[in-house]
Amino acid sequence: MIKLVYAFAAWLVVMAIAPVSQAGEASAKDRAALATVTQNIVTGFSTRNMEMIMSSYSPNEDLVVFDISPPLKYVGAKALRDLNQRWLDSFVGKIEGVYSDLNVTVVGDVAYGYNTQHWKFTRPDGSIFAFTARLSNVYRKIDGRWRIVQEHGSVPVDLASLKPVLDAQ
Amino acid sequence: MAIKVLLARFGAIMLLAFSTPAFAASVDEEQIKKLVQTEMEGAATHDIDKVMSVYWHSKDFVLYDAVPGEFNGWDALKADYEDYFKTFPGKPDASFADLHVGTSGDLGYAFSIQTWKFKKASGEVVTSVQRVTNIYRRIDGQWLCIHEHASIPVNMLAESKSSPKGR
Repeated sequence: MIKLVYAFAAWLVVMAIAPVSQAGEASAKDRAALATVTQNIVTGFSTRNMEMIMSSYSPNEDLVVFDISPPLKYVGAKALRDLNQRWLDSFVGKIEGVYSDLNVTVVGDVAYGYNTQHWKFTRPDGSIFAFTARLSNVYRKIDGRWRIVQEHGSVPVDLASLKPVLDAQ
Repeated sequence: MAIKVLLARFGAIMLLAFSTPAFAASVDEEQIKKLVQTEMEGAATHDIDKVMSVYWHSKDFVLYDAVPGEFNGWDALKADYEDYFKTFPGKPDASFADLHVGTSGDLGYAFSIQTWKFKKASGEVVTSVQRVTNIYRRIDGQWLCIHEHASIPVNMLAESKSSPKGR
């Protein structure tokens, strides 16, 4: 009986320490993996590779995206895939994207980060639709791989005119 | 005797339940929900100290606001709130829906859809439905918001047809 009590006490100590021991600064490996998650979205659009884009996101229904475009939120990978397909179909010409200022923090199997993305979509008439978006993400490691579980993308809006500001710095 | 054993077992189970990471996480989630509430109450009642108490007092705080502007650091955020209190001097009605909260160790996040009815000096009401994402870190034992992103969706595909043609 006493052995059981000791075992239970030891277990309690382990459970109390476990969350602390998981915490820590992002390893270089995690940072590189999270940069790849962002790069794959940018490259995926530029090369029209839907699978590459979607590989950065949770494949599940738990995915929540606050996209630049309405509605207020998209839930699940399929909804995001359909949205991305509409973008690709609307701009038949060249698409160029770059990201900057990626800042990530990793704790255990969860990470968050934000970055700025600069996009140039070629319209059907050959002119360019350019804008800068702000992105905030929550990532989770799913089956050993970092994926976005929540994305918030936006452009700022001037409240007086309710017009978007497409060249925010 | 049987009751004593039962009580002992109940005690052990309660001790077990309250000492697991899952319990710690649910306590953290409740604390983060309270911060979301405090922020909204502070912003809605124009209580600058209350609203600023939820944020990390650092130049490294980053805000992506629904409106244009550069808001890096706690001081810039405070100035942004004070501007908004001046622009809309009436106290707004605010509510939120779809609040999701999660934590991992000392990292937490919350996102929700918030409806704000801002009141101009003229009495005109401006309704704004925003998506708000907050990232929190536990710093010296206290959860603080280190990044906030608020936005209003824009129909970009329609915008691409109406905005000036570029090169």
